[in-house]
Amino acid sequence: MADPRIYLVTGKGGVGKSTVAAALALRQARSSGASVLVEVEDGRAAVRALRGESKVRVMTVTHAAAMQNAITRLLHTRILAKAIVKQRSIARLLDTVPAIRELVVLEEVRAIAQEFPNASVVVDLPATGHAVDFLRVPAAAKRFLHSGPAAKMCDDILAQVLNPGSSAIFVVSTFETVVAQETRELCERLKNELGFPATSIVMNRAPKAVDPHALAQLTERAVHTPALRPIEEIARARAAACQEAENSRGILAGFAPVVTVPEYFADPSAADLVGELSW
Amino acid sequence: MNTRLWIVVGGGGVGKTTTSAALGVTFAKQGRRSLVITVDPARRLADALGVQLGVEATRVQIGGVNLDARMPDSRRSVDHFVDWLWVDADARKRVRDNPMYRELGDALAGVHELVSLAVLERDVQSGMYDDVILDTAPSRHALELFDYPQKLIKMLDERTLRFMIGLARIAGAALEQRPDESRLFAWGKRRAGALVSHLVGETAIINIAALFVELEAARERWLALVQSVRTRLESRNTRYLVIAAPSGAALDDAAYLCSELTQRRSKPTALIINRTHPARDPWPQLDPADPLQDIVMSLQRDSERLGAQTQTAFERVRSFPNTGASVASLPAVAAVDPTQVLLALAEHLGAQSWLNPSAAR
Repeated sequence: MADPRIYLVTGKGGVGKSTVAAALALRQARSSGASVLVEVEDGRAAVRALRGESKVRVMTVTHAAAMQNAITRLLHTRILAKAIVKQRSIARLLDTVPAIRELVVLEEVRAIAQEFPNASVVVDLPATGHAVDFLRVPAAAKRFLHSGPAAKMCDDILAQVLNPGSSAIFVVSTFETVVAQETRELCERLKNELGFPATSIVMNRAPKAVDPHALAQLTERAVHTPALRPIEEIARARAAACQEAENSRGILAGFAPVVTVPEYFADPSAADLVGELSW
Repeated sequence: MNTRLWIVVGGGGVGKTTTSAALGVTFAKQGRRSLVITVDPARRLADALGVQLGVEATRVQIGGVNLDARMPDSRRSVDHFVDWLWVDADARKRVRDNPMYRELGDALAGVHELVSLAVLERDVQSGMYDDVILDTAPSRHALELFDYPQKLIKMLDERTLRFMIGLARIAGAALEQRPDESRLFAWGKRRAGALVSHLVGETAIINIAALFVELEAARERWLALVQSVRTRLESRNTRYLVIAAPSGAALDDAAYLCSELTQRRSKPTALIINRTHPARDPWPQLDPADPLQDIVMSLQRDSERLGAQTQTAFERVRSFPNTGASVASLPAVAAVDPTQVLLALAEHLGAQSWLNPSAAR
């Protein structure tokens, strides 16, 4: 398969999803020349991770703008689209009816990919905790709409954004058991409900390995040297975390290749992580 | 009735669920009857408490005290909500069979929070608890529970409904039981309506409109719900805790949540920085030739970075606009057993004065 055009980055909140998405965008910018990082509503985390790196174009998609753009594309006229979005009743309707937000965000992603045909498009999906619910909207909306321009829009999104042949889904996890279990569940649902299995799992903030020989020595010495005991405790905790990470790899095995990104003990930059994202 | 409701908000991954459970344990230790409710589908709460949790309250024994916990099923909650909202069985069936509801009902942003609030109203009013703790969905979405009721009310205001019903007419639907409102439709609106129905198709418009008609029929119940939720959110017995962690993203979220809550006249009672690392005592200096030098140096470096990150977090929090919230910190607990983590955190929380039963909001 050729390199994917669109990378959909998902995962629970707090796993470092935005940083991984920024690193992925940077990696693609360096390897293929151009990349666009799409953030939804709030792009601060990604901008912080990029630390002013200019190779990546960051585009923040707001629901309001995405809505107007989608209607503009449907009607081929911006003036009418503006009028519709401003019409109070319609505005309220669009604000409340389920799934419209998800749909227009994905439509905006589609349009961005079309606008930058030579760039990789990396999408930092919102951390709603329901990535599958987000991504299954176009198919569900299509079933509901049957035909007409909006249904055609759903078809285009399915073909151009949610197509396993040209897009990739990266699921970000951490080493912790609970997070790995959730990630596993998410991967199962992606495969079964969306028919789009995860392309890759990123195990972020993996603990650094502790040399077992050094740990044994440390334990032995700590018996006689009280000053070493707190350090031994930290080393033990780290060894336990490594064990947990190993178990988590087992939990995630069989869904997608697991890429491990080590813990950085500070807010890492996209450039810090980019070297770790090799597969 | 003096049941206190604690609404725990914060960005993802900051340890909201564990802190909520620890809060429950802390109250139980004070001899108060406490209930912890999590809407987090991640089962973190069950994990931390070491039990299976269901939709109904489960009694949990931990660290020698008892507390109740429950976990509404967020995927089923919308269906329950429909059951609650429409008293009439035929209306319920029409709603559940509506293709729009069937395909997209559970994508209703904010409705899960709304439902969980509606459901906990029963717990708060039961008189069975002194403290009810609500662990909200991660991230900024938690605040949708403030806005969603208002949005719905606006959408259900008569004009919007008439507009929708008008749309259905334009699309050719004959909703006979509705009075003729055509007078209210200006030409422009009709044009806009025609365009919308062109975009999404006639069948879809009819289905959407049908759903709106049902929503209008349940208007009284909506209004009652919105009113009770608003009263609850603004009650002096409702307190807000913002949880953060020493990372840039978590602190961004906390700053946002603090200021939004304050704007909504729901000042946070406390801001808790979770997973802090104290600066360590001087590290032992080993001989450079010591075989343990490498591992000790490596651990020291990491520990210093974590300590520095905590310092940065405290400095950042000092620059937050003053909301009058207490600032507290909880240490990172290295235990592998989630119950041990919970008990250690409860120990730390027990020392906080703002948790005192006599403390004001």
